[in-house]
Amino acid sequence: MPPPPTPAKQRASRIALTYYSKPDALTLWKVAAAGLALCAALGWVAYGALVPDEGAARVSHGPLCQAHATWDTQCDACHVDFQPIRADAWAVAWYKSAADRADLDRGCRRCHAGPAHHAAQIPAEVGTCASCHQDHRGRQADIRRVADQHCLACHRLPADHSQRKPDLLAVTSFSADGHPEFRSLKTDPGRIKFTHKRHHAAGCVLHPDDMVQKKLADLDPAVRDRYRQQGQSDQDLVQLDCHSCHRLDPADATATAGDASWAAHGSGAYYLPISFDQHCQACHELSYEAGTAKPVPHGLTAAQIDVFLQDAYRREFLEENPATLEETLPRAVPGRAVRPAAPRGREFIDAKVRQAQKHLSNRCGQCHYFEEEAPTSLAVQAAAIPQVWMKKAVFDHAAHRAVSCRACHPRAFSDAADASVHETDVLIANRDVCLECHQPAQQEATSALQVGGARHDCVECHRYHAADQAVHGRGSPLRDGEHEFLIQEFFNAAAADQAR
Amino acid sequence: MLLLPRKGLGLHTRWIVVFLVGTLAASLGYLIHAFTSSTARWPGGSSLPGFVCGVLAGGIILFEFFLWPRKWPRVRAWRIGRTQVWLRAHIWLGLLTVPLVIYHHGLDFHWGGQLTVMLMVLFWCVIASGIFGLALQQVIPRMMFDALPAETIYSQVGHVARQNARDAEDLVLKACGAESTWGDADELDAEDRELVTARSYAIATTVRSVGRTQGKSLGTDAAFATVEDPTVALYLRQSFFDDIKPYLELGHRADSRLTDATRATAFYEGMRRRLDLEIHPLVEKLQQWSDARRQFDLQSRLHHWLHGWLAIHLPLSIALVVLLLAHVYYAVKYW
Repeated sequence: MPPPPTPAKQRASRIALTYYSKPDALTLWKVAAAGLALCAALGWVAYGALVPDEGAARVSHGPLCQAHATWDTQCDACHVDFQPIRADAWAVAWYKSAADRADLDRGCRRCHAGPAHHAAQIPAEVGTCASCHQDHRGRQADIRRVADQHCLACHRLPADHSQRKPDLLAVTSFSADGHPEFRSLKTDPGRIKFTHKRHHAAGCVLHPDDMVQKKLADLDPAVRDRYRQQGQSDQDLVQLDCHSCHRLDPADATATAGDASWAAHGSGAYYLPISFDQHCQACHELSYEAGTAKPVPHGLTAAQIDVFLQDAYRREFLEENPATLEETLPRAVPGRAVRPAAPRGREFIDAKVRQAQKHLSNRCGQCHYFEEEAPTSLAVQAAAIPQVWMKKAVFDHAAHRAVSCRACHPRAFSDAADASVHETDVLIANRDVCLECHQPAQQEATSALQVGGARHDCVECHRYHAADQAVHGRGSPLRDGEHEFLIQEFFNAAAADQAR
Repeated sequence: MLLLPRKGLGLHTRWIVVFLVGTLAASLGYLIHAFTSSTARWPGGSSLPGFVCGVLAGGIILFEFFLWPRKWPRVRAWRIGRTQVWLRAHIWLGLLTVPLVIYHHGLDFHWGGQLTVMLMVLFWCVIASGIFGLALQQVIPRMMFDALPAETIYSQVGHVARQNARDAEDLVLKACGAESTWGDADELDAEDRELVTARSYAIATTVRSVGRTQGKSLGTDAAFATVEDPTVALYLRQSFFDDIKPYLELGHRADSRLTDATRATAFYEGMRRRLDLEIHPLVEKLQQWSDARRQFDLQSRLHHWLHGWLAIHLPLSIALVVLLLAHVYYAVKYW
């Protein structure tokens, strides 16, 4: 039976004409997911905006360093709204004047002075604080450890980046090719007749066959043990070593010297200053009469020595001639001058003083140079021993205490072939010795030893701020901020701004 | 719809040039700035090249996002450019945001805080889902063209399947000498009821092939011969109601043996062996409907792959735009 004819309407109605007006399940799911995503994103942002601490944590690019951790959620402690803080932000170009640029750092300047690098630097080339000290790198980040590129930007071509066009050599890295020798070690400014060879030798002699050799028995018993090496008797020769005079820890010095001021000197970075009273007097007694124990305090000027000697001999004269105190002057007769007392005492004192001056001049001249050469001159030139040799860099002896002194100061030892015999010799190692450790780790060509590997970036030795005062300490006024705050002001940037 | 043509890139050439030139310009600008500036780090978002790349990337992302509202009927009425142009721009400008965003955050790949990390994760997810969707759109339409001659409108798959089941039931019951029950079914709406009431024929989609070309046509099939033997009629009814009808209605969800094409072929061969030759055209018809139902299942799966990625791409894009606006505000406030 043939199929009956089918109405076209029935054929067309197989699918409703308005099917597209009803979304399918996939479309509904898509719309629902879109709505959910919109709400979630808006909610997340809104919650951050309404809860400041939470918002700051979300916007922050990372935790602040340990020193700044208190202000982790106080963005305005450092940031000024809608003002760039980093020098590499292109918008810094809008801030042309030095005052405007300084204003970008006002968050930092609340607490930090940030003294200038150099008087001759070009102000327009000085970035903001954050251009070098980038924070938000985690609690353990050291934001003082600035990358070399910041320094090399100028020091590659120093003449192009200074107002004075200094005759400085270019620096590209800490290496034999990239860093000049240390300028601070060109000459020894000290004016002391001292040789390490003599003082390091047994008996403190320059040559082994010298007749006068110092024995422990020659020293004051009070300080004898200080110079005694293990197993030595009083009849043994004095054998000094580095630590006989050079002390790193103030506690060592105070134990023997009783000078409490030394305790404040160091953090172990630099050796304590050499002092006559502590390090020289045991051998170099400073008596103003030969063969007696009549010491003159060390460090007096020529005029002060004169006064000291005058007083000492007046006292001595009076002690020897007490009747002088009872002597009366003759009554004055009108028209005649009073005859002065006999000059016997004055002559005695003057003679003694001259004799003592001559003796002292010999004693002082053993170590010091005089301002002018004369038999009784006591005006000595300043010792000028540098307490810190590196004028533009820092060095930490405590960090190097595991390394032998000989490694960096070989000529200070009497058994060295080129041991120092002139006081003008500079006995501190220069760049090449530093490079043995402070370079990228590598295997030595002649052996299997691995050398190098210690830090060798610029800030390992150099400081940017107040660079010519490299050793100024943490308490230096150079580091002080513009204001001092109460505790609540210190922790709250808004309150701090009000206080200013 | 194939976004990329099969042979050559044709109309995409202009956009590819835009992408390449944009990438090259951004790379040159960034690298020149990086190697001529004194900063120790790679330029970041606040540097000149980083800022420019960020602004461009942000603008492009907003433009890309506008593809969605553009589909809204009210916005579509504005007729802003041709859809093909929008889609090409969406693809290539979207890819251009990748180098721009990389140069914006800097080559040290420090993604910053929660907001920027979220932003970057969303960005990469959006890019990845977009590329995934683009790839699917190159493959699946062709696959559907080849494998789904019985393809119908996705949202009407269930409706058409139910219609087929009803038509099949009509023909089977008439072949067994019984009346259709569909006319009284409560679940039918008036339109459907009119279609199925007391008719002795079926309107069915039939897949036809001419050479390598396949297609479907809507045809009317008259009732087939009647089964005289009650035992055979019972077998036919049981086979239909136990296996065929559930599958025609529910597809793979019926957990039927007909889901598998091989087993289905064996099933229908078995039916043919049990039934007289006069009934074989009916069996043929039932097998065609089963094949069509299998294609509907495949069509649904492919449709989900073809369009399902958008259900990820779009929500992520919305979240991306919201966080992007927040990022712009906070970045300028604390740059």
